[in-house]
Amino acid sequence: MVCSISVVKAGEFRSILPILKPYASAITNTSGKALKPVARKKVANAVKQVIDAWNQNQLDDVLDDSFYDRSRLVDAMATDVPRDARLETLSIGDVQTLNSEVVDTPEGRMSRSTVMVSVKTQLTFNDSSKGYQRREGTNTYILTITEPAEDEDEH
Amino acid sequence: MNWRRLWLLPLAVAFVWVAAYAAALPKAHILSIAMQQGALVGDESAALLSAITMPKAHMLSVQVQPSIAEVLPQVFSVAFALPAGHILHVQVNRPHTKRVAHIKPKVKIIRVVHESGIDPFSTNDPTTTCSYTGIWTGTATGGGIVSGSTCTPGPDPTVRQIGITVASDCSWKDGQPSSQGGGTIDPATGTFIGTLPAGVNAGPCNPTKVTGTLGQNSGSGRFTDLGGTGTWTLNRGGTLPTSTQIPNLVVPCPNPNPPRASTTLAVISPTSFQGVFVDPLNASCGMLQSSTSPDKVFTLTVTKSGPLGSQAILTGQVTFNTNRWQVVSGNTSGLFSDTVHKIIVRYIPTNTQYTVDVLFFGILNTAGTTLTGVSGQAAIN
Repeated sequence: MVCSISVVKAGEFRSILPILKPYASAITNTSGKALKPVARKKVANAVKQVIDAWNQNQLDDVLDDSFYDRSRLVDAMATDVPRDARLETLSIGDVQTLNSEVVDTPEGRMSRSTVMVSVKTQLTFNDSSKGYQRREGTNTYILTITEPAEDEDEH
Repeated sequence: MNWRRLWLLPLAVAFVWVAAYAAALPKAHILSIAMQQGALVGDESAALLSAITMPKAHMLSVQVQPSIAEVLPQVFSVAFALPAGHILHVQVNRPHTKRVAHIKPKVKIIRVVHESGIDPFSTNDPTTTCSYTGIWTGTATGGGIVSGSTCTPGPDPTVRQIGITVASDCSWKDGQPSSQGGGTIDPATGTFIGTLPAGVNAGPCNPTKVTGTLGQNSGSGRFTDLGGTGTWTLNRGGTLPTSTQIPNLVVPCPNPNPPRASTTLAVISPTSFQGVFVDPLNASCGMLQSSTSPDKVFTLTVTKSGPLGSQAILTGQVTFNTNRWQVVSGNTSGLFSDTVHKIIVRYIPTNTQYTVDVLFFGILNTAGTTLTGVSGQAAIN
């Protein structure tokens, strides 16, 4: 080993060429303050809540009042989706915080963020005639996440 | 008395003294010690020491058992060593903890933009992946059937009845867009029963062109002459709706003439447009007016302004007369994150009566405040 080391010739030191990248710009929310992105893990948990609600046929709890054709979707879930259908998250893609604001509610000061997340899902169920079915799909979900607001000094 | 054992006397006295002292320890007080309210978790030990009325000189160490991380149950024990090596366990009842109880964030879905494959939130069959390209045969007031559709996998690609909310290209009146209209489709005959948007017969537009939309995730299209046959293209996840309930009409673009003081207004006059996003989910619309010359190819270039990587969705509201507008290249719907997005369309009038036509398109800003504006131009190639 000593011999092998001794024959190694030191090459010249290479200069560091940093990869150019755009500077992060200050993104602000509607109140003009810096927009604090929602943590990816938190968004992943939110997606999990949505998927769980889908699997438990409790979409009514997670669908916003403004969701287009809300009642029709709830009806479709009850009539068109096989009972053994199971929705799973395959991957979570790009997560982007669109807006964030602090609102006063009866429960206290809450932080309400709007996030956009791309989710690849897999649906599995047993078809009576075709047997086991597995279908994938990719959709972009726009969610609102409401949680207790953190104090300003904690930022 | 065995005086030779007298030397044991001091030892006995010392033993009695230690035993008496140990018996005098304020155990009762210790056993009822309560934590100071609001004591910080990290200072549990110090707070505990100050609360215990035992002389600190007799404490060698204080151990909190179980660990601090496990003290969420209201009771935990503390052990500290006496000089004699005895361990005294103390039960401490914490009247309350400052820790904020974990509140599960409340999650609501506002919208789902279908990209590919299944759409679990489709209002139709959430389990089916379909892409329909069919020939629509309609009536003068809208509604009709689509034949020649293809769907894999899914139900049989036979003739299907669809409900269409109809609107005219000139669905505005007195310079204001109209959002009225809608109705139902008779599932047996495909006949539309309802009201057309106000102003459908007014304005400078040709009232014989009808635009239909089936709502979110159901695509949009346009057919030509009332009472005629046109091509209706649907690209969506889910089956064609069999429900006869038709949602209210969504008018994608405002009236360009006269221009409104709306920030979402985008005008091509005739070959350029621009719009500014205010609401994160607002749309910017545009119109492209064709040349009077047939068989012209336009390059519609949409440019976003905003930080690198900001995204926008070119919505499914791209409506054009497929008899006169043919997409040569470029996606007319879906997410695009490139700064410049090009769509090349060809204008092919099939009827010399229609020498002027418009191309509607909508751009939905899903990037929120990171996307400040959109502009574009259409050039004749």
